[in-house]
Amino acid sequence: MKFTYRLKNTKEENENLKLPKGLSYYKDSDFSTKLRARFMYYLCFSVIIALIFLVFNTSYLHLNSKEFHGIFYPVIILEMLLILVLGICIFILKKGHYNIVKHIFISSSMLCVWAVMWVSIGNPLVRLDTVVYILAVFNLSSLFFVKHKRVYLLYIIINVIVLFVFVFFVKEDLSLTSSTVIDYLADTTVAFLFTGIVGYNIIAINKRSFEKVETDNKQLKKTEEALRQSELFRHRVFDSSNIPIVVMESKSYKYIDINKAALKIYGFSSREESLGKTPLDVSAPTQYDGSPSFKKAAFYIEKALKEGEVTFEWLHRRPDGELWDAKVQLLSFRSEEKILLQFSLIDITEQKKVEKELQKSELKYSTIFENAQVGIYQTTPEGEILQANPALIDMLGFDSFDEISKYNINIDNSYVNSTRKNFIKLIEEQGFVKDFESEWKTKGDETIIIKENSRVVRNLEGKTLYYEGFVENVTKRKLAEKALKESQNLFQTLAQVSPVGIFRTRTDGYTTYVNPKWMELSGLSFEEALGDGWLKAVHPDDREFQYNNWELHLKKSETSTAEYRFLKPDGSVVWVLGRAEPELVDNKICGYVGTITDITEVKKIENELKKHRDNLEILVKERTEELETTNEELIATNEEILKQREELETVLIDLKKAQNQLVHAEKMASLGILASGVAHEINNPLNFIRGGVFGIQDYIEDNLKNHLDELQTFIDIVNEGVDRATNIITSLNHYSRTNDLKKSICDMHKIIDNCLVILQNKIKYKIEIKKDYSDLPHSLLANEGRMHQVILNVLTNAVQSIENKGSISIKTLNVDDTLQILISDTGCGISNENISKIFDPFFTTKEVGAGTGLGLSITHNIIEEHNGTINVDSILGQGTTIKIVLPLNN
Amino acid sequence: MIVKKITVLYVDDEPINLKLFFLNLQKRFNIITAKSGYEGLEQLKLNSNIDVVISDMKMPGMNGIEFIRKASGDFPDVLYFILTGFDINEEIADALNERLIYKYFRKPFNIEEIETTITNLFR
Repeated sequence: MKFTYRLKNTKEENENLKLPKGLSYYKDSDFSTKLRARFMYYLCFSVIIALIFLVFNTSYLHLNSKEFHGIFYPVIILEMLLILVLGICIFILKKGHYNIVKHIFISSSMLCVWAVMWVSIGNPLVRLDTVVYILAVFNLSSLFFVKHKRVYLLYIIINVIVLFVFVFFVKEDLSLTSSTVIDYLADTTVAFLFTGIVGYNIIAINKRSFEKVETDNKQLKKTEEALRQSELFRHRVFDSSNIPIVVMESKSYKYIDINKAALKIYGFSSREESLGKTPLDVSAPTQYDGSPSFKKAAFYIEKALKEGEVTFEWLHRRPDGELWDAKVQLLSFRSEEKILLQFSLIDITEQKKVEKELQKSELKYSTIFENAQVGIYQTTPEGEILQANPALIDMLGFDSFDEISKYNINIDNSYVNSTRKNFIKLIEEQGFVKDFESEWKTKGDETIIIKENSRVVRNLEGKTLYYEGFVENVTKRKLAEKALKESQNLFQTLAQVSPVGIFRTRTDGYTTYVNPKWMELSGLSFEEALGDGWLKAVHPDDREFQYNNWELHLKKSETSTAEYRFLKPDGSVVWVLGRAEPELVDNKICGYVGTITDITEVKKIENELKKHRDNLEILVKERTEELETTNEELIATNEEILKQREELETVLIDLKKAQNQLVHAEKMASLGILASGVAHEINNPLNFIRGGVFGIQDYIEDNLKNHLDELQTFIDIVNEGVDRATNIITSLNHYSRTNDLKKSICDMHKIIDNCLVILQNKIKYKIEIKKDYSDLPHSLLANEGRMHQVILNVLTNAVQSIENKGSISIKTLNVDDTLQILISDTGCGISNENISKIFDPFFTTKEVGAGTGLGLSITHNIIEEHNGTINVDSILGQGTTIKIVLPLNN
Repeated sequence: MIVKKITVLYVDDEPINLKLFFLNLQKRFNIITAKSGYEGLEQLKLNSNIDVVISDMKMPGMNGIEFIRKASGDFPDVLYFILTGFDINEEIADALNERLIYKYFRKPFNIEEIETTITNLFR
C-alpha cells in the first residue's frame, strides 16, 4: 500500500511540471530534458523580446547619437537575423529536437557575438563585451549539455581559434603591439579555457550525479516492484492455500487474519465474521482428555511462544454445533514489534472416525476369528504356527492353541505328499494362493482334504513375516464330488454307448444335451442340436406336429411318446420313436430327459404291411365295386329291357298309329293329288258346259224367246250341276296347295270376329254367341286366310249342327306356349261311330248338296300345316266341342 | 253415241275354250284369240288396238303370268287378266300385288262377270 502511494506521488510530481502548450512533444521525456526544454523555450522567447528591444534601442541610438551617421545596418541586420534564427529554434524545439536547438542556439549566439565584434572592430569596449558574452554563453552552455560534453570542448577550441584568427586579422587595424596581443590572447584564452573547463566539469558532475540518481531510482523501483509482487504472492498463497491458516494476536488471542480454507473449515460465512474471534469460539467446551478447552489452549499457546512451534490435536466446534477434529500446528512469529501466532489446521475428522471404526472392527474381527467356521491361521515359512482359530484347532483334532502351537507343520509332516513345499513356492512367487487344495493329517493321523486361501505378509524390506489364510475342510465335498464324477462318468459312458438316442432339455424345451447316437440318428452335430436346433433335423412334414406335440407335453409335464421322422442332411429319412420323461427335483420339474429309438425298419415293415393291407382293401373294394356295378348293370339292363319292352309296345302302338296315319296321309296325299288333278281337268269340261249353256241361253234369248220359259228350267238344272261340280272342285283345289303360303302375325280374336260377321245372317235370331277371350295378347304366326278358313269351317259346322235355337261358346286360352281355341255348340253332336271319320275327306252327315265333306278334312290339314292339333269332343244330342291348339311364336 | 268396241285378246291352249269365249263375247267385244303365250305376243304386235288381255294360267311352254310379264314390258297400256281353273297361288298373288294383272277369274268362267268387269273398266 505504501509503495503504491509513493508511485502515485512520483507520477503526480511528473504531472505537476507544467510544460508550455507548444512542448507537448516532451511529455514522455525524462524529467531533466523536460526542464531543459522548457528553459530553452522561455529563453528563446525572452531573447527574441530582448533582441526586439535591442533593435529599437540600437536604431534609436544610431539615429540620435552623433557618433553614428544614421542607422548602422550590419548591426541591425544581424540582430534581425538572430531573431529569425531564434524563431527557427522555437520551431525546431516544438518538433522535439532539443539537441539540435541547443547547438544552433549556442553556435548562433557565438557567431553573433563574433560578428558584432567583427563589425565594431574599433571599439575596445565592444571587444570586452565579446569576451564577456562568450564567457556568458559558455556558462550558459553548461546548463544545456547533459551528454556530449566533448562537443562542449569543441566549442571552446573553436572560440579560441576564432579569437586567434580575429586578433591576427585586427591587430593591424587596432595597431596593437605584439606584446599586447600576446597578453590579450593569453588572458582571453586562459579565461576561455578556465571557463570552458569549469563548464565542462559542471556538465560532467551534473551528468554523473544525474546518472547516479537515475540508477538509484531504477533500483528503488525494481525493489519496490519485487516487494510488491512478493507481498501479493504471499497474500495469494495465504488466501488460496488449501490448508486452513489463521493468524492470531498473541496477547488478546484475537484472530487478525484468516484464509478462505480456514473460513470454510470453521464454518464462518465471511472474513468479517471471523475477525476478532478467539480460539475458544471455535472449540468444543472440553478436549479429548476432558480438560476445559480454555486451559488446554492456554497451555499450547504458552508452549508455542516458548518453543516457537507446537503440534497437537484439537476438538473443534462449528457455529452450528457440529464437532470436528483437527491437527493443529501453532507457530509464533514476530512482526513489526508484535508477537503473532499462526495456526495451520488439518481436518482429521474422517481419520478419527476411521480410527474409531478400526477399533470397533478389531473387536468384531476378533469375534469372527474366534467363531468362524473356517480355519484361520498365521504360520511362518519355517512352519511355526503363530495363530490358529478354534475352528482350525478342531479341524486338525487338537484341543487348544497351546497344543497346536507346539507343532511345526513343516517338520511334523502334517502335509501329505510334500504339498507344503509347493504351497510355499507358489505363495512366495505370487504373494497369495487361491483355492489351494492339499491333504493334511490330523492329530489322529486321519487324512483330510482342505482348501486354503492365503497370502504372504511381508515387512517393509520385503522379508516374509508370516503366511495367513483360511482353511476349509472339503473332504466330504470332495468325496461327494468324486462320487458325482463317477456317476457322471457312468452316465456319460452309458450315454455314449447307448443304442438309443438320448437328449436332455430344460423345461422350456431348450435342448442342453444329446448323445452320439442322437446325433447319428438326426445327422446334426452336438452344437447344432442345442437349443431349438433339434427341430431342424425333424422332417419338415412332421416338424409342426412334433413342435406342437412337444409344447403340449411340456404343459402337461408327463411322459410323452411320439413317432416322427428325421430328415438327415444327406437326404435319408430316419423314423424314430421319441420318449420324454420329466426330470424331477424336489417334486418340481427342472427339465426332460428323453430317448429316441430308431424305428425306421419297424416303420418300413409297418408301411409294407400297411401297403399290403391297403392293397388288399383296395382289391376287396374294387371287387365289391365291380360286383356292385355288375349288379347295378344287371338291374339296369333288366329295367332297360322292361323299358324297352314298354317302349317297344308303345312304339308298336305308335307304329300302328303312324302306319294308320301314314296310310291315311298317303291316302289323303294321293287322293289330294288325284283330286286336284281331276279337279283341274274337270274344270275345262265344266267350262265347256258352262260356256255352252251360256251360249245356248243367249241364243234362246235372242231367237227363241217364246221357248225360253220351257227351256229355262233345263238350263237352270245344267247350271246347278255345273255350280255343284265347281264347288267340289274348288274345295278339292285345297289339297293340291303347297305349304308355301306366307305367314304373318295374326290376331285370332279378330279372325273369329270376322268369321262371325260372315256367318251373321245364319246366326241371327237363332244362335247366341258367348265369347270368352283370353286377356293375354298372343303372337300367332300363321296364314291369315287359312286361319279364317279354319274358323269359318268349324263355326259353319257348329251353326249347321244347331237345328232350332242354341248357343255357341268361343273360348281362347294361353296355355304354355300355345293358343287354345275351344268352340262348343249345343247342336246335335256326333255319334261315336262317326267321330273317327269326321276328318276324312268327303265324309259328311249333311244332306246332299249341303256339304262337300271336305271342310273338316281341309281344316285338319291346315292345322297340321301350322304344327297344331285339332280334337273333337262330342256327345250325341248335346253338343260338340272342337279344341284347336296352335303353337305361339314366342 | 258410238262406243268404240273394246278389243280383248284371249289366250288359252284349249281350242274349245277359245271358241266359247269368242262366241259368247263377240257381241260386246272385239275378240282375238291365241293358243299360247308366244302366239299371244305376236297378236299383240299385230293388233295395236288390243285393250285387254285375258290369259289362261296353265299352258305349255309359257304360263299365263310369264306371258303377261313379257307382254306388259312391250305393251304397258294394256289391262291384263288371268283366267284359271286353279285356286290362287303365290305367283298370281305376286302379280296382283305388282299390279301386273288387274284381277283373276275362275274357271269355269262366268261370262257375265268378265263382261261386267271389263265394261266397267272402260266406261
